[in-house]
Amino acid sequence: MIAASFAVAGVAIAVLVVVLAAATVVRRWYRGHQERRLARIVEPLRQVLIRLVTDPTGDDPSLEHQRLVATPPRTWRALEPTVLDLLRKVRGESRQRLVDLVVAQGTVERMRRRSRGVGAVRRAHAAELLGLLGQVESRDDLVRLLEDRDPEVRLVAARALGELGDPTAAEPLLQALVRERSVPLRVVARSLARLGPATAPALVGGLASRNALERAVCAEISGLLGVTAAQAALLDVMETEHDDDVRIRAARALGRIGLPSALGALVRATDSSQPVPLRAVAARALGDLGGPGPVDFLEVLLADPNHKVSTNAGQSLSRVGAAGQDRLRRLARQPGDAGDCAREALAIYAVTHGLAAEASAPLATTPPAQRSGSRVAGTSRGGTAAEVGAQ
Amino acid sequence: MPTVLVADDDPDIRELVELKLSSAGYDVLTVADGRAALDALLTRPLDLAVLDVMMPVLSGTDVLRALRERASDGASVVWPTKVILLTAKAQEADVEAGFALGADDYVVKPFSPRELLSRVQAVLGRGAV
Repeated sequence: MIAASFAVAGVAIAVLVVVLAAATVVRRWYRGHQERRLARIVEPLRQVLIRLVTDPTGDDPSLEHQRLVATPPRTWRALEPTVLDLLRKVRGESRQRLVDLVVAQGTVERMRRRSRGVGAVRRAHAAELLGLLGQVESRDDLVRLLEDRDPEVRLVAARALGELGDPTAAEPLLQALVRERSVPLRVVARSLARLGPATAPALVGGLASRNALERAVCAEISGLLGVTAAQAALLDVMETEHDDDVRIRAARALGRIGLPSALGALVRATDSSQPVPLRAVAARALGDLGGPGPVDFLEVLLADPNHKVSTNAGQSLSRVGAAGQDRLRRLARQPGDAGDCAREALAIYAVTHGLAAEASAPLATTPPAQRSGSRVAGTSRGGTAAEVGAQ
Repeated sequence: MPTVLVADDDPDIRELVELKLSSAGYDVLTVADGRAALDALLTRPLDLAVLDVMMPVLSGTDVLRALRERASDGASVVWPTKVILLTAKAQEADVEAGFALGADDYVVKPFSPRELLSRVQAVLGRGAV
């Protein structure tokens, strides 16, 4: 009885294995068959598509456009991935022709509907395509998706808003940073940067936000985009802000924007009473400002007991122009920490600008034992500039 | 008319560039990898090569390096082929490295076929002057 039961179970398992194997084979064959069938359908239209994109005759490409717009829905569904793939590869007039085609085929409307669908993957896919197609009417759908329950969908929507290029998306993007269903900082920052300087009003407004993260992002992006309209708000941040991270980003931004009116605020930020990371960034930002204005202040910082501050001051002096370079050369002849730092800055400048011969003149060196204890261990400032450069 | 080699592993890009250039009157030869590109460049006189950077077997920069090294060693017969790098690598350092290797121009993907044609015409025109 038991043996018979085992035999039946064995046969059942064998049958199951055979059925599963057959199903796998059939499924693979069917998939291959479908792919070949789709390729057969798509190939002639792909040639038309390539002609539409390249416009080889220079004539109005409406013939190709009309032919592709007239493709029946089933055929279009087979062709659509190829069209979207091509969209990622070209720009300018060629891209616009593809966008016109996709819009005429109703893909944008379909994606907008899909963005309200049930599955998160479908909503994310819709958001991605809406960003790729860059139609301003998709903005509200993408803004709505910034509050989606699925974090991946929110992330894709934030990225898509950056692609869309509508600066009015800046404000919802900033809000997405601070709400409970948030979007990662780096994604928002990248999208804001893509939107460009037209986001200035939102960035200036964001600098007065009650949320420190939002203020920090607005400061950073203002600098990256060189938003001169944010200068006054950034100067205000330097004087009144309590959060060190926000002040650090504001200092960096003021340097990048490069307006001379930032000099006073940046010099004050290098004061020894300020946190070291802020002082170091401010020393670098003074170099970004350029011109002779920061030279005297940077010279003082060259002897700073903090390695990061003095190194940044030296490199800033090498970048501000002729006045800074002259000052470095004069200081490089002197012994002591400031002299070491000046030689290091000149050596780095020489190496990065292919001027090694000029910088390798014999220099007065400070014996290692006499160097400031607060320097980073293993950082030698002695020897010739060439030696320093070789390190 | 000048002969142009187009090397890209993406068939869409190959066909697109081929059609754009051939419709402007150029003779166009296409290959799908770096090895085939280098073979083509070393076996026949070509006026210009449009090279993708990230290709199988040999990258576009490897092809360019090999081409320029052979041209400078004087031992091999190498035609003075102009090179345009067509690549998704858009960082400053990438562009700088491309020109340092001896590229005549650098076009970043996604690209405008119309702009590429203008650049091809400019690079070949420069050679003629």
